[in-house]
Amino acid sequence: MKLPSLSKAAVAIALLMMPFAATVRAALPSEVAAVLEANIEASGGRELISSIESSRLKGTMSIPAIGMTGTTEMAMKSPDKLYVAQTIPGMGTMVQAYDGEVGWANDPMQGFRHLSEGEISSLKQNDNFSDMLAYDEVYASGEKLADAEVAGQATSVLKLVSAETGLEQTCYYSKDSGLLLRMDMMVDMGPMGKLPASMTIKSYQVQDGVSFPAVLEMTNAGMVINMTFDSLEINLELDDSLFAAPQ
Amino acid sequence: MRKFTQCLGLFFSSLLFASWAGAVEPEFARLREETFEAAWSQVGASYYDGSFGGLDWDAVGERYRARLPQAEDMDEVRALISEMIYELGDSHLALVSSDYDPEELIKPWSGGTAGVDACYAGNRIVFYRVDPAGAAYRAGVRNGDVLLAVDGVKVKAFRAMLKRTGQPEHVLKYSLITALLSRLQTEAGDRVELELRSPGGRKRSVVVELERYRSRSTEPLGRLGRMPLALETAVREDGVGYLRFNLWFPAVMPEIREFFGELPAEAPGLVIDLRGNPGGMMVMAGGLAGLLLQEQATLGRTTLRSGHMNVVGFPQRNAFAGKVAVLVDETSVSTSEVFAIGMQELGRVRVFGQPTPGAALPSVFFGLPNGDSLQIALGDFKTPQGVSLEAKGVMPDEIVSISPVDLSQGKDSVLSAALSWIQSTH
Repeated sequence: MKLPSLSKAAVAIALLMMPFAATVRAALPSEVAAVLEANIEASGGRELISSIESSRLKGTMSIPAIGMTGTTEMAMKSPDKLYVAQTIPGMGTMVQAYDGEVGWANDPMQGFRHLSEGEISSLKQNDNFSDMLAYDEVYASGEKLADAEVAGQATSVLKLVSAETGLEQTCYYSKDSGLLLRMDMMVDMGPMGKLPASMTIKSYQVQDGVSFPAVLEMTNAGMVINMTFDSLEINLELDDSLFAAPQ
Repeated sequence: MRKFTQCLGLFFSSLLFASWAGAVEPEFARLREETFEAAWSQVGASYYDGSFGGLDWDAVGERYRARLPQAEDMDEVRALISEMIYELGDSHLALVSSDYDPEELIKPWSGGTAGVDACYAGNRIVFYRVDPAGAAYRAGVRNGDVLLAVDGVKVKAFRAMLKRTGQPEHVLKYSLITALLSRLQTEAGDRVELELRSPGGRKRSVVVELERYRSRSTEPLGRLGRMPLALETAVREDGVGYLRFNLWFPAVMPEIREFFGELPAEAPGLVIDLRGNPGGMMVMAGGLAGLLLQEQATLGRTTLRSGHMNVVGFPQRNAFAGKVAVLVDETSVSTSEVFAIGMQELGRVRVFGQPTPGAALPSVFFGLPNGDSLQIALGDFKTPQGVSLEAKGVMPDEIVSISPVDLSQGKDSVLSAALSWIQSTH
């Protein structure tokens, strides 16, 4: 598939910038790193999380404003394979995946297509475990903002800038538990645009010592999407074909 | 049942209102203020253009707030709010009175069908695509018949009722035909009286007894429920492909893909008939475009207060490279318009028919304290060259008029013009 000239230019600039960016990136400020380390600890600890080679999270989703419900599935396999699928009755199954080399999407409305660099980066945000541990590589910079409240809980607020896309995200971590409670971001949809999104994690569950979001609410361009995850499988057998683009 | 409950609620409300008539003034003043403030602040928070078209929204609020005490009843409050929001000059900002019951004007589909479609011939509503095996045909409705009244209510009266809902002028033609056709899609067994005038000028009344719709319907999609689904694919005798569907819904895409797979690459052309198509999922405009494009291309962009969404065609296997004609009319709305104008600007299709209304802005409804609803546009759609669709619509490359006489003789002048272009340029 031929990329439009603008995207080609953007990719070229990004490639040129990468070595430079890598050399000047400083470690995150210690107060930022402390909050992120506390989050790792609250999520199960560095040792346990780094032992995760694969995972699959399954749940349901609903969009109350239009009465729509569906299912969602997110799978990852080390080091960087990802698969996200959403099935909505009447609409079908929408898949985005990355096999480590090729990012792709397939849905009944648009058919098959390759994902842009920005979309692959957005997709990688679903791989919470490795991102969580490698925060010094994932974020180009970080800043601790004034504390704020989320659903009545005091939080430490971090503004983090993605090393890959340069996009900012604001994350709210509970001062009490250390867990992430809210994230505001701009979602890069590649050639399909950019949209503001906000995610509030309302509760967590623990599976094999790992904390994962149980109930969360996403707001995407004004539309509220509720998600409930009821199962997390860790270190399960996942065939590589799940992540590979259909022939 | 729901209507009965609403009526009961209104009845008790009116009893309460009567018994507290002496104390109404402060209560009304509170509701007047709350309603105004809610409308002003909701527009301020949600309207897609953060610059408010150059207006100082705070100053606008102050100006109208100063006039609020002069509003003596809720209709005057509504008029004030409407005047305020229309300063933004956007048709997708509207105040919908709680007195307005949309089901009174546009009936929900209840499984019935008459087997007809309708279009405009000038300002007249004319029946076409009359199914010879359908209920309307049995009752005596024929292609080219002009619709004058439904159940004793003149078409002009329907238009006046729609206008009172605050709908923008440019969508009234579309809404009118939708409201009238909805009366021919209620429950099987319902009897609908139609007053008609034949192309020869003869007036007559017929009673159509609706029958059960037995063709395809969509899978329920959230609150949208099931809707009748029409999909027509054919390779005509002259080799030209023909595709028509009535909704931009995912359910049609597998068959559309299959059709493109079977359409010979050497076919002289393809006609995509979007007349009467009210839209659906905007992303599907990119999906169909991908079946006609050899390179990735953007059809347009919806700009929100923060962020934007593009409609993009990603080239697909079996993409058709030949001539493509798109047919549109006053009832080709939303996603149909996005597809037509985007592909027209790319130079990939030639558009035939009548100008479309220009109604492709995503909008949402917010409730107000007095029970009214406020419709606010969340985004503005423009083509890559910056052409706005809103209230302007798609201007066909070839405007083709429709005549009841032609329709009565089985002639589709718009399709004929498209076929003529395909054959002459092949």
